[in-house]
Amino acid sequence: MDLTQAMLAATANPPPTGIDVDQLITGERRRTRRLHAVTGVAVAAALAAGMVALPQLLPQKPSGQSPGLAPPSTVAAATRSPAACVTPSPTVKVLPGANVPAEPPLVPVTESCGAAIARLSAELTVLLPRLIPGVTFTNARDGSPLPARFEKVGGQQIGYTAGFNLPGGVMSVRTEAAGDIPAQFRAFAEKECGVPEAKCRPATIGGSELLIRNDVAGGYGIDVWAVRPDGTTLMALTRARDPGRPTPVTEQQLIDLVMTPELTMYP
Amino acid sequence: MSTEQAYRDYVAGNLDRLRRTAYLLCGDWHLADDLTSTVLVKLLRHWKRAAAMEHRDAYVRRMLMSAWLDERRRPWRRESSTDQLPDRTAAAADADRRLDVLSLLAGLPPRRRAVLVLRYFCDLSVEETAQALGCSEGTVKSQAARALESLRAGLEEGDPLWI
Repeated sequence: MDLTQAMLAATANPPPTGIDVDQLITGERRRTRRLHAVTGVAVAAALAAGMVALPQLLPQKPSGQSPGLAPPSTVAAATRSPAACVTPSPTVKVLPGANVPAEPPLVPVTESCGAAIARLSAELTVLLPRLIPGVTFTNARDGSPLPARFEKVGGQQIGYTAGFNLPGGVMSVRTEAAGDIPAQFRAFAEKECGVPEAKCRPATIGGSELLIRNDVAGGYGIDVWAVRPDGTTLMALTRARDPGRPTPVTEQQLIDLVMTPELTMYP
Repeated sequence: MSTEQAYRDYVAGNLDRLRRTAYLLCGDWHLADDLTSTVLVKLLRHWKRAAAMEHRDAYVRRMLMSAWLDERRRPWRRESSTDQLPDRTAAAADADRRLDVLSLLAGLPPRRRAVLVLRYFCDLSVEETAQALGCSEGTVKSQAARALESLRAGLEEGDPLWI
């Protein structure tokens, strides 16, 4: 008998295997999901840390105003309509859900960019003192006081965003033409929040589907996304300027803001 | 055919061969299953790449060899003290011969054992064995010669396993 035959004989009667391919595939899927969730949280934390750190790194304004999210006063001119309709530089993008893939809107947007910016800015200027009373808002773009200044979002999506500096932190609001119906977003939110590491929860309010993520970025931020039946996606976020400090806006105030009918893409 | 179905088909067609190869390397069916599982999980992670490969079996063999050599490098593997001997059941007929070849293989260093398994069980050429182990053909030849020499030293002339 040669070595080959001896080896074949030695393995001639294997016991039944305990390997379950279905279990291997399920386990690998679970591992991948966790990895994605942890990566998402890490990216969100990095973004939030960047948002909080950026204003402090920018130069102090000569007038003594607190530093804003955007540097030089020359930028201020760029925020006024119709220039605000120009897609801004990614360096001044202040928004939650930046990783939402661009999808064509379900409902076509007919309102012009300039008209939408004027309307939304006027609505938000009225809404902010009503929903979040006792807080002084300044536009993140140029440090100017209210009225609010919306501008067009970057990328492929049809939407508008406004960022603010508040005492103790920042806040931004973004409204977009939705690419999903609420039920689709509900499925996404349940999947996204299916792992404990995600620290978020889905919610349904008056036909709108919400994803509420708090304790993001190491415990000093809140994100609220809403897909509403009228075809508008609204996202609002807030971050405390220092880790461990309370956010300048509460979760309920952000929810109230994203549920406001006035901030629609379809007036 | 979906990606997952292609993976399942591949595993169904090759699981038995992989287990047997792993068993000859480690001499224990439980550890052989562990090694095979490790390889199958890695294969699943890289299935898109592996599915497009011309020599997929060689790729899988190489993963198995790496898994086996990694396993042997773990420090806790070097200790095997126990106060109770495990129960062993042996099917009477070929048990002696099977234990003979396994105990002979067990006496070899891991890399030499891998060379013998690849050359005489998987029926690979020197070149293919070198690729699977990530070494030169000269190394394969010398390792095989030394491994066979060690086996002969453990046998008496006329033994059924005399090579």
